[in-house]
Amino acid sequence: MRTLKSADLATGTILGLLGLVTLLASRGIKGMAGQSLDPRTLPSLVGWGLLAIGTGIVILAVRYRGDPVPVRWPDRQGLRRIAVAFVSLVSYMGVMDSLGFPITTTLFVAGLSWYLGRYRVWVSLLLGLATGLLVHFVFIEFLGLGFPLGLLELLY
Amino acid sequence: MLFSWELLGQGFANALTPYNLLFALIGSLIGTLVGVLPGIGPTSGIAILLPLTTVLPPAPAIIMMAAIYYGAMYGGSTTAIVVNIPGEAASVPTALDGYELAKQGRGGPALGIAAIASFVAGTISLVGVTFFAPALASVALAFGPPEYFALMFMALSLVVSLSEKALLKGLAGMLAGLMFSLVGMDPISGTTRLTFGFSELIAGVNFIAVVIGLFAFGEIFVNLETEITHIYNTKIKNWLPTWQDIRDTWVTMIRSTCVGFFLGLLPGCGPAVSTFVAYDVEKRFSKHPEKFGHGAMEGVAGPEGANNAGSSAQFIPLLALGIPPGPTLAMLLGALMMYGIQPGPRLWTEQPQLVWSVIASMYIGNVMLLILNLPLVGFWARIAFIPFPILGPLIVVFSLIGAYSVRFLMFDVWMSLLFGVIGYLMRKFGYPLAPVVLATILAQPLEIALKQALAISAGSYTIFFNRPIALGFMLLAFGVILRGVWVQYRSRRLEFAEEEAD
Repeated sequence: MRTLKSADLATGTILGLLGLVTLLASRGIKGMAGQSLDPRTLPSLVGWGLLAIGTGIVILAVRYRGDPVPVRWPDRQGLRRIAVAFVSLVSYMGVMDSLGFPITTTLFVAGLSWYLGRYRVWVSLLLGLATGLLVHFVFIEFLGLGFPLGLLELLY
Repeated sequence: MLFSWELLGQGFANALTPYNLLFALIGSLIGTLVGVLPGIGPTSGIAILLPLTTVLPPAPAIIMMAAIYYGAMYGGSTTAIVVNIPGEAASVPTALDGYELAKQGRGGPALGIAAIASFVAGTISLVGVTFFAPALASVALAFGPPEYFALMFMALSLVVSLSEKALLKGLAGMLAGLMFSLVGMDPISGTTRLTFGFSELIAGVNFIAVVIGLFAFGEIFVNLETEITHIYNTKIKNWLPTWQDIRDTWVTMIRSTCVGFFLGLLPGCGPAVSTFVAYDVEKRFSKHPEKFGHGAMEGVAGPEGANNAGSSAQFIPLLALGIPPGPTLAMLLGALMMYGIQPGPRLWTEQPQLVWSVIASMYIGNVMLLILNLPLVGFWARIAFIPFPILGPLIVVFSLIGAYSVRFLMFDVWMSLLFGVIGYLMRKFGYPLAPVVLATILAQPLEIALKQALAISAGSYTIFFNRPIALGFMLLAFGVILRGVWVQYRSRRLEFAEEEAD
């Protein structure tokens, strides 16, 4: 999707399909007798709306005859940075329950700051550790928020 | 429940004791911090501190919790302006222009105007609370489900204005937002909808996760595209607002106070609705509406004024009628009942010292927040000086804390990541973000009001047109929609004409 026209064709199609899926899913919603508004009414309306709007976006894209407007995608390095950040985030969230929020926060902040800033390893580790400790003592210990402790539960 | 200078004087005398002043200050500080952190709102802040307040007498406890509430309204604009991450859903309109101002090197003045607008609006609305609480409480009673639906529908029609030239894309965003909000259980019948057999989806999609994803994670992905050292490199022009900034926005502050105050009176009409409405009102009244979305100071002053005016006005239905207008004040109601205090008309006659102490402390709290926040403008604006390789991961961590702390479900965290990807792609393809947020916030109250109204009218939709207040809002909504469509049609025709001329 290098141009906005192709992007609109794609997103309009996706929106239309989303509308269709919503419509089909709403047919399976069970209503109750005596209700003033059936539970499937709003999902159906939204489904029809998405289908109509998606179709409208596709039609406008097809009819567009002006100069192509490029979509500003990042270069290879940029895509790599985004991919690394995304994978880091997924890993961070994925192991949070088992390792615990403070430990995963330490690893995430240390790792990503090292990758993005090319700092010395000990600088990034220090930053990660400081963040992990802040999270643990302020949010978990002091405020009592129920974040997963993971491996730290062995200490308690 | 009549006003009395003597009672107000006693209230000030009580609120100005060192003990109560200390708790007002603590509440203001905590509230500001809570408002700054994305996703952790005043409701969470009060819920977390509620057990700690049991050791306090009623007056300082309520004073502190009230200070947390309106302090959070001050704090929510900070990250919205500096890093384009609204601390609250109510701060989303502030981010639209505040962040643009920050990129132009005017983050300090934007933060300053936000603080001043909050102070002005908060103080004026407190005057309304002081003198007119009983009369204004009856306004809240005049609103029934048909009026609420019409109001929400009118608020939804603002999508037309928020979408600017991308009307179809804005409507697509609105419908997508509605769709995501409908996932889960029907609010009245409990029927599951659009869950596709996944039990995790029964809990529904929380709008905080949507806001954090679209704004925080989406913004991080955008910033990662290039190897930036800082989120923006524009030289800071000045740290505080100029007299010109104040001259440009003082009328906005007064007008948004009125909008926020009257909408804040209504139970169920949250601060987010009043900020979006105020933003649209200011855009319509502005001599330069084209600047909105690109760094208009009125675009900051309007929503922030409405936000704080609304948060003060919300105490009227709570104290005068015992009706909490939203989840945060429901927590406050719980706190009052913990002390054996039942808000309502009798509270004003049976415990006038408590009521007037709380009202007096809110005046003092407003001054405290202005004194705290104006000098801190330079501190907050300097957040942008933190190198992005450090700031980025920190923003992620605090955003994650915000997303998780709403319901303590990892599902919300995963949703915020999903919306982060969606938000990134929306930015790439020219889809405005604000309509998604607005629809997500309004979907449930809109549907509940619609069902209740139709239950009253036995299924007849004329109920929205034969009650004067509801009719007024419906006509406003249709007017906004028709005008928006006409403006779009006219601009498209001009574009086609220009293309053909070329």
